[in-house]
Amino acid sequence: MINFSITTPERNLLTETVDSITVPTEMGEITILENHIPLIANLAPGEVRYSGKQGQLSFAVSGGFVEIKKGNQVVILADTAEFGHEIDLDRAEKAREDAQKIMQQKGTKNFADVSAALQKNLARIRVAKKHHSRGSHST
Amino acid sequence: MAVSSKEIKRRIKSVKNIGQITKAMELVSAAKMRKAQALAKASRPYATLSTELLQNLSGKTGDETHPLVMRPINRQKKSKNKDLAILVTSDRGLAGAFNSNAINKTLNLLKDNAGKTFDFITIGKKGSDSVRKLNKTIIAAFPVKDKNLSIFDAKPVAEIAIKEFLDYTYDRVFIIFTDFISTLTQKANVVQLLPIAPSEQKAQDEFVFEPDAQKVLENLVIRTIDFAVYQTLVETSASEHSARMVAMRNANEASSDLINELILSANQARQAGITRELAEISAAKLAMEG
Repeated sequence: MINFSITTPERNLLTETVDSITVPTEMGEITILENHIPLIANLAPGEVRYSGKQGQLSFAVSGGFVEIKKGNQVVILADTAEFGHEIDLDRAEKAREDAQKIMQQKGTKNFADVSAALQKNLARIRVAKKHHSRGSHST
Repeated sequence: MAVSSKEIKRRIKSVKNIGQITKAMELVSAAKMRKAQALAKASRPYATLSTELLQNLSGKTGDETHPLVMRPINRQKKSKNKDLAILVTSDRGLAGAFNSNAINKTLNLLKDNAGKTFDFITIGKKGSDSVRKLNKTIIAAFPVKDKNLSIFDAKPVAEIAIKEFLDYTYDRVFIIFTDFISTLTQKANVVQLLPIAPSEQKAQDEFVFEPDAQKVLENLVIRTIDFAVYQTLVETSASEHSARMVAMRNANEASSDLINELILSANQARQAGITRELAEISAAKLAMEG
C-alpha cells in the first residue's frame, strides 16, 4: 500500500492509502506501484488516476511536482487540483475553446502559457466527463 | 448641571447608532475572519512540503544553482545599491493597529538599511498612502482581493519582483506582511523573498530527478516565490479581519459603557430638575401663604 497525499496551496485535497497512482510528468505518464525508488519529477498538466478502496478515481492537475519518498510515501504538490464533481464542464469547454482560438492567431506571445492552459482544460474536461458518465450509471 | 437632559439624550442616541454600526462590522469581520483563517491554515501543509522539497534539492545541482538562489559574488558586480520592498496592508482602516504595525516595520527596515535606496510594490491602499508620504517610488500598486484569494492573485506580484531582480535593478527583495498567530495576536514581519536563502540542511534520501535536478529546481524556485507571496497574502488577510473584529468588539464594549454612563447622568439631570421644580413650587406656596 502507498500513502498518497495531494496538496495545493489552497487546500489539502486528499490523504489516503492506495494501490497504484498514474501521474502525467514532463517526461510522459508514469505509474507508481509499491517500493518505487525515491523520485522527484515535474508534473505536466493532465489527469492523475489512482486506485484505492473506492476503485479507480481521478482528478485534474495543472502542474507541480510529484515526490516519491522512501517507505511508500507519495506526495503530489500541485498548483491546482480538482475532482470531477468540482469541475464545471461548460466553463472548462469554454476555456478550451478560448485557448485554441488564441493559439490559432498568429504571433501569440505567450504560446507556452496558452498551450499549458489548453492542456490543463483538456484534462479537466476528461476528468469531468468521466465523473458525469459514472454519475449517470449509478443513479 | 452643565449639560441639559435633552443634550444627554441626543448623545445617547448617537452613541447607540455608532454601537449598532460597530456591531454589524464585528459580525461581518467575524464571518470573513473565519474564511480567511481557514485559508491561511490550509496553506501550511503545502509550505512544509515545498520547503522539504527544496531541501531535498539543495546540494544536488552544484554551485551554479539558479539565479534566484543566493549568489552574492556574482550579484555584487552590477549592484545599483537598490532594494525592493513589497508592503502588504489592507484597503480599509478601522482595524486597530494592524496597518500602522506593518508600516512601522517598514520604517525600521528602511532605518536598518540606511545606505540603500528602497522602491516599493504595495498591496492595499493604506500601504500605498503611507509610502507616498515617505516620498518613495512605488513601481506597482495592487488592490487587496477580499474574496476567493488564490495563488493566481500572487503571481503578478511575484512576476514583477522576479523580473526586476533578474534585471539587476534590485539587490534584494523584501516582503512586509502581518503574520497571523491567533485571533488576538498578529505580528508584523519582514521576510527576504529574493534571493532565496539556500537551506543548510541536506537531503537524507537519494532521489532520482526527472527530467533532471536543474529543471526541477527551476520549476520549484518560481513556485516557491509565487507561493511565498500567496502565503503572505492569506496571512495578512486573516490578520486584517481578526484585527478588525477585535477592534470592533472593543468599540462595541466601549459604546455600551458610554451609554451606561450617559444614562446615569441623564437620570441625575432629570432628578435635579424635579428637585428644583419641587423647591420652586414649595417656595412659591410659602410666599403666597405668607
